[in-house]
Amino acid sequence: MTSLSPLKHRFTIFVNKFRLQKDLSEEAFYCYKNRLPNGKIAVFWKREGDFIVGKIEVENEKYNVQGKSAKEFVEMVNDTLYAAYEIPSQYISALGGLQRVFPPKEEFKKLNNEAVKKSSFVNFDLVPAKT
Amino acid sequence: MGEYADVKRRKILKLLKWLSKKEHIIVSTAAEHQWVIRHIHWSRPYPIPFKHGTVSKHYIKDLMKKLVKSEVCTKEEFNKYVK
Repeated sequence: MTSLSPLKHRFTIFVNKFRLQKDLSEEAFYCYKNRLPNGKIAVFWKREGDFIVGKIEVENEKYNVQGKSAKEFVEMVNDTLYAAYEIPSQYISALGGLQRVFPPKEEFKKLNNEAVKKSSFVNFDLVPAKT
Repeated sequence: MGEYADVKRRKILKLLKWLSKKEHIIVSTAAEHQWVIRHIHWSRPYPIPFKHGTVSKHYIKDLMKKLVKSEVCTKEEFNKYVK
């Protein structure tokens, strides 16, 4: 059985950042880049206790997402998409990292504003991947 | 009150270990802060974050629906791990 330990997983990512960055395959990079959704990504979110919880709708699939702050919520949206589209962790930073898709400025302000209890946004701004 | 409440990460880990023994299910870590559950009949894996100490009830509810629909387990079996 594969290890499910979060600590072990984070440690492997940390080690791979130094070891594998130069060994990324260009073919695999473009394969993973094309695999990720480039079309409409919709996110519906609301505040629940300490968390901002939301739902991502992309290509007829729905994924949950949670974060403690606006920045972390956006990072978790990206992380969820990388996990759902099975992108290996060593390719994440080359594909734009956890800021690859980012909400429009006014929507990000709403996420930061605690007076706004729920909202949604579609069509994130896509950060171009490093080639 | 809804059916499920937020669940501690420790409980989720127990649930995932139990699920990984089931037929057609593969559980692993992915991306930077996620566990993913794969099933041969699902088009995409189902991600659950391990970044925080608790996991939102919405993940639990949706995962239960997916597992019951795919006949991996019953609702009662699932509830033993999250309630």
